[in-house]
Amino acid sequence: MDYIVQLTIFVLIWGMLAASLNLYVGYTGVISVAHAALFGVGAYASSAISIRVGGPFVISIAAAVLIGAAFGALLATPLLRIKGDAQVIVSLAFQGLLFSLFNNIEVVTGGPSGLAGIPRVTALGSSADLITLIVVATAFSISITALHRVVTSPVGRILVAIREDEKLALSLGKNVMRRKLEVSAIAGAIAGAAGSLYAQYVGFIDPTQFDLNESFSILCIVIIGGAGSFYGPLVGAAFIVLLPQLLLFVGLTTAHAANWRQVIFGMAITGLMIFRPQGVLGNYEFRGRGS
Amino acid sequence: MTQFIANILITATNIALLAVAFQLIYAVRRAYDFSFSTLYLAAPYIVLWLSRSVDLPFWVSVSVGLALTLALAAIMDVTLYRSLQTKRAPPLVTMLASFGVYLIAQNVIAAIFGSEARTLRAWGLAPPLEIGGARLTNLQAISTFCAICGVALALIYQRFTRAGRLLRAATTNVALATAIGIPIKRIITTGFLVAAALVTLAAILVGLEIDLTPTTGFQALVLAVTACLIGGIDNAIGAVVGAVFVALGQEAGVWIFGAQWSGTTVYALLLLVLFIRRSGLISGPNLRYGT
Repeated sequence: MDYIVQLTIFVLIWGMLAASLNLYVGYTGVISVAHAALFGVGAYASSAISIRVGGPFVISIAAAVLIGAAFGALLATPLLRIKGDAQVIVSLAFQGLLFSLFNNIEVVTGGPSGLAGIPRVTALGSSADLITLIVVATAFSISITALHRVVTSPVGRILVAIREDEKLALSLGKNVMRRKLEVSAIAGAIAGAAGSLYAQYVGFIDPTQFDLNESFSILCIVIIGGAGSFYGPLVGAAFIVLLPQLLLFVGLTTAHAANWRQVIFGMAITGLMIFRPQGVLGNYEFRGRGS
Repeated sequence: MTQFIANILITATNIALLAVAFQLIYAVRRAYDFSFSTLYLAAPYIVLWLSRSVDLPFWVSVSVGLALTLALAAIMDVTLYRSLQTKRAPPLVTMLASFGVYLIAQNVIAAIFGSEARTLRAWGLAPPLEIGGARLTNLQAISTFCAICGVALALIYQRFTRAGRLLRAATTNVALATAIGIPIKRIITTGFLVAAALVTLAAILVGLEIDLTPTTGFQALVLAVTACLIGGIDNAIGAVVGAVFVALGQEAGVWIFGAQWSGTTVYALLLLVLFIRRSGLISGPNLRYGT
């Protein structure tokens, strides 16, 4: 039972990450490989507050949401000035920069050794896995509802219009940059919340948990599930969490399972880009202009 | 100060070799292609396997390693890029497909060789040489010389050979190049193989000095892209000038903040360049939307 609860918690956290990145990639057409860095910002902000200041978990989650939103907007500032595949390079640099900071600002992040002893989510005097599951499921529901409202509202239709023909959206008087900045802040806020929940559940974080490979994995979830499909990335999130478990069942060690998971993602992305660039369930085909 | 200048020159020549190799791949594909990282990673690990597991002499391992890396590049060109070319895939799709291949290569190598640092060098370092007040190792002197030769060959290939001029024509205007009978597929494959040879040379030179890990391909890509974007990605000379700026930034970062901040300086430089002058210092495409 504990095992199933644990897997469900991870599926929900990765579901929040994938859904928030999908808002970015699938609904505005902006490719980012810096989502794990935003996830890490939330995790570190929340952990630093709960270890050094203390207080209820709601405070640290709120701080992670605000800081995640701020960093999301910060990422958008250079990213939205660039077009096509060069966006990936900008987000790579942002991911690399934050990863370096996680490693080097030891006062806040603990450096390469990481932060240990992060207090767990406690409610009704208990910090059992089931309590964490309820809190994570609540955060997941709030995030998904908020994202659903965004994509089905007039704002969502403007986002799709921007993605399909930005110049047309501009000519219709839509404030393209502002909308993209808002989307980036929302995606950052949800990634920050996911980071906070993750850190409080696992109790220990270090920079390797928020590296480029993790960003690639989150992007893979979105691409494989289908960018622009609301439910596709959620299916992808279940796939990314459960796949290593399946690989453990066929006798691979944990370290090898992680490697082979990435190999399968690599094959899936390459295959999809050749045969079905819009992903399994998606409706948005990547066609970003080159530089 | 003399040592500081010598360090900048050594670093600049190594980065310049990476940058001209990446610039050539960009000229061939018109996309930020991760095949650079795939080949950069594969080449030294193939040499490592040949010299340590197959027990071939080092120079034989390097020669066979070069041949096998070129064979890998040819296979990638025929199986992946030609099918993307046939479908007229946009740069973003080419980039994501090549990224999938890089994920496969990185994780297969990590699964086979492990994630720990390995070294290509099977011999100890000779006492350092003293040239004009600066101290450098034999290996640094040899690798700087080889890197300068590699850069010169790349510039000669692109600017002064018939194949280089045909490559420029074939990638600038495909329809016109086809109409006048340029064998586009053959020219592109040749250009890619020349770039692969340069990447192999750069990877082996760096692999002799610095420990190899499965993530080295990405680190090299960041250095190369930063240099190319600073100098202007459409210009091989610009890539060399950009390499000098990156080396200057990297060495200054190490000098002022310490070695652990060297990577951070490069990422910050890349973001700064893209934020301030997206077209590079010399020339290059305008990456900005709507212009």
